[in-house]
Amino acid sequence: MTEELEPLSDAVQAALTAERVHTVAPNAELVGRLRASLDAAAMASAVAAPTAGAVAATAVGVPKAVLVAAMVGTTVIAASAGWYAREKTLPPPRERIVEVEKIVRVEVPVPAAPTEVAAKPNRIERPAPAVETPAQRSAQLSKENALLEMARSALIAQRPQDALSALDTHGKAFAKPLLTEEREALRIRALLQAGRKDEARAKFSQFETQWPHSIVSESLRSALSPP
Amino acid sequence: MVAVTSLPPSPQPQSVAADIWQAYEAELGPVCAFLRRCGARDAADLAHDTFMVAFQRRATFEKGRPLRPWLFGIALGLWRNQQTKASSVRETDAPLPEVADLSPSLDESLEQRRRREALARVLERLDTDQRVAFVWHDIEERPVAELAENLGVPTNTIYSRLRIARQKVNAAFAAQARKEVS
Repeated sequence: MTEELEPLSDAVQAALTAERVHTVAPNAELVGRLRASLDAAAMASAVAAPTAGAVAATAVGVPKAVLVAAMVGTTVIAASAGWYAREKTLPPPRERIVEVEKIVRVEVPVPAAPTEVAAKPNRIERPAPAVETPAQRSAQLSKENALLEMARSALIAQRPQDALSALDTHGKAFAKPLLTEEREALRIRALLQAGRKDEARAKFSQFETQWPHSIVSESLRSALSPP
Repeated sequence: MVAVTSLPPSPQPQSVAADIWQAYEAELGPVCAFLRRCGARDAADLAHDTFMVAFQRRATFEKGRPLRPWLFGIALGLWRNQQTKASSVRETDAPLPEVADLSPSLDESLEQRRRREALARVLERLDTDQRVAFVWHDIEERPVAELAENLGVPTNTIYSRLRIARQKVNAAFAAQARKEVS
């Protein structure tokens, strides 16, 4: 079928080449707007997460399934948040980093507060598992995101050891983390940046096994492949 | 006596996962360029919506498939839906889109810019379906079958559109060359 196509003239080929190599970076307004919309959609997904399916998934210890179910199940909310965010200004990235520091100082060990519940038994029962209510889910996601943002900032600043420390902290801080996939993807990048390529490849192999449909697999694979 | 119940944690600002953002950000420019090449006048808004839809559908993204054509497919779907809703008739005499995008970069020669502008003028005169086929296959260098799958039409239909588009593009460039000589 292809051979029936009329070949393109040299002049057209030259024009096509010029068009292909002409890359225009998207303007800052669009980048900021998209980031704000995606952040809003992520927040909407997190807040609206505990649907029946999501809670069931949490109960059997499949935190990532919760997130995916939330994203799929809250399309309208997420879209609305996205459109709303379009009209808003993107919060400066530095704000997020400041908040990260605040959260890390205050939090870290065990998200639930069993002692408080034990001291005041008349209050609403609060079972031990970390993620139960939408508010708790939102709070945990926020804390997890904060640590991952620290790691990301460290990577941008070419400080892979700091990134790995933040990721290790994340690994220890949450009994049932919701952002394990994101953390491990960042870990692979941090190991690569630290020159620990063999470890990065080994981690990626585990990553592929655990999240065979991850959207970031392609970019990680290309980062791991030799130039 | 009123028991003071513990307040729920105030919602903290969330942000999209870092790696997803990195993957999306890298594709934002190509998606904008693709939409512009197809003839979308509001390429930036459509690109924005493309990534929002992609985010919502990320669970359906198949491993092993590159991200870009998946995004192109979403972008194309949104654009076509928009056209259908607006019942817009193609404005073949409309001015060139996105003039700003045609501005020469520092390392782009005048000749390259002239070629791109000539191509943009020719694309403007193509039928939308032919233009999309040409952009997809001959500019973006994506397989015909991929576009056919995205549009839900037979592969032969795309080849047919592409064949006509190529004839028109070749003819337009040849006519331009003759005009410059005379």
